[in-house]
Amino acid sequence: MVLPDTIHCVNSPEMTVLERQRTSLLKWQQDQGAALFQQQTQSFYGVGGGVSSCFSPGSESFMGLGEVVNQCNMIDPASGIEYWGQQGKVEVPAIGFGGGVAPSGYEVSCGSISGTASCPTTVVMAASGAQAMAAALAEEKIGAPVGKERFNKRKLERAHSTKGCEDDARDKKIKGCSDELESKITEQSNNNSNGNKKDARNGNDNNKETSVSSSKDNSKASEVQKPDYIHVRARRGQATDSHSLAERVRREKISERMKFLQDLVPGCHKITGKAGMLDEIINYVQSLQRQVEFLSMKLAAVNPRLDFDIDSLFQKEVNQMIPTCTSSFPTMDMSPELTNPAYLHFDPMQQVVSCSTLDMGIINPDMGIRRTSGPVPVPDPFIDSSCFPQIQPGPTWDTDFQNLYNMEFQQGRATATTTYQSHQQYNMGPMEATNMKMEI
Amino acid sequence: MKIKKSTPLGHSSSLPSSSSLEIRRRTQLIKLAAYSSMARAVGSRRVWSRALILKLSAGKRIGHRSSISLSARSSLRCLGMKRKRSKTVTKRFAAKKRQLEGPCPGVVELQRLVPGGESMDLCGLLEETAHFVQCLETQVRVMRSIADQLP
Repeated sequence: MVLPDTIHCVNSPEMTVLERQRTSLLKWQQDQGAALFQQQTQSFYGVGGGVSSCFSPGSESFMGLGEVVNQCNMIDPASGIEYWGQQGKVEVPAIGFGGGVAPSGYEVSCGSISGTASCPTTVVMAASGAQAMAAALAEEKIGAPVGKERFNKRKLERAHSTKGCEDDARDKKIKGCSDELESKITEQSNNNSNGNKKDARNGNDNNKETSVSSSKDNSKASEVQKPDYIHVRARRGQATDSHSLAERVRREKISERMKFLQDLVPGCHKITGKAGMLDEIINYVQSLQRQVEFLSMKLAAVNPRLDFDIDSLFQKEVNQMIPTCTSSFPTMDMSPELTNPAYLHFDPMQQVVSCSTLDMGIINPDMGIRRTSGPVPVPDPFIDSSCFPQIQPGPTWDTDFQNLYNMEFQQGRATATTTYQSHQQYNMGPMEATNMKMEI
Repeated sequence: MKIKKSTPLGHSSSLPSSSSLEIRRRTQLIKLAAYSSMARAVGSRRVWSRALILKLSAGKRIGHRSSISLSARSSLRCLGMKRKRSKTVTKRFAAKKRQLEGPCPGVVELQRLVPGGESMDLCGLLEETAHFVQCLETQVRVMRSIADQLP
């Protein structure tokens, strides 16, 4: 059998759990020897074919045996079935934990896996003799208590070590799945001594697991199988109590977020320390805020001189940003009133101001629908800054505002109006309505 | 990423003179508009946007000049309380331990920069910072494009 995967360092934190499992399993397979491996492979392929039929009634949600096997691989790594599953498909595609499989599907597969757990072992016995059977059985037995202990830690890791909402969804499913699996494993592992479990639980490092195994093969299995669980937290010499575990989880979360920030903030790939990174981030945020201030100053300085051009600017931007919009901006006249472009920008705000301060009959009915009911308090600065006292309602405004409103309607920007309605005490609301129109 | 048009506020056509006071006032307004539009775009999905919205609305009531520098302590306290209620026992233990040790100065500075940061621990703060940085970058890009288009 060809093993195309390269064996990465199993302690690498960047590898996913699945990859680590796979690589460690491949390692173990190599250690076991080619002949035995071949025999087992053949036998498992046969088993795989047989078991697939067992799976079929319960696995309609799965796409095929490969995925089922992969799910098995992911779900039940503790038992020998994982080994079996891995044997069946080496090139199995990495399916995400949450990827399209309902939790009920997991349950079904777990049930069927536990039901057919004995299948591979019997077939192995038939094919390759007692040695293989002992290895598989022992592995299964040993794997179970170890796995049970590991599940607690793995749950923690899964809960904390992934980022992004996609991973959150994954984690929930994994948690649910591992809960089910724990119950399954307790059903399976009826032969295991409690002493083994205790050793596994109280062991401060992975190496203590070797004391569990009795035969040489078993020790080999447990030794080699240990790399499966190195990704779980208990590293050598580190405590495994809940507080330190939580601390470790938190530290890993922080380092993960730091890495993400390192990608965001330019020019900090060389910086390794947390303090240095924090300083860089602070500098970057400050520089961005300074840029915003500078640009707002620039816009403030530019505006009064170029009011007549803002009209076309707005039109250009609108046409760029909303190509589908059937805006009739090109039909707009460059009205002599310099305040016209202001209205194009601030039509919702104007309705606010107008209804409270000025008597602008034309605008009100247009924006009546968009306006929230009730008086909207207008603070002084808005009234001061606007040029409303000088405004003469022009003949084009009617159609302009109507067009703007239609445009917004076409884009389905009901959110803008709802935002405005929900935050009517917040006078930026109407501004945001305009702004949000431009959202892409 | 939403590209928002941060529209400048108010240009008095009747006063073509660009006195420094007038420009400064306009600058403040434009900055307000930019930040509020940014916060609105995010909505209530993020702690920083909620804090920023609360801060700006509180600033509106009091006086817009002090809004940016206003630390909306009450809103932050609310946010802080909400977060602490959800912590588990172990997290609370770890948090107490961290409180005893005290956060490093960089964390304090970052908490001051990011709106709503005072109520967050380092972990959540970093996440909020990342999103805040992304939004700020977008805001800068939008404003720069507007400024570039104006001759």
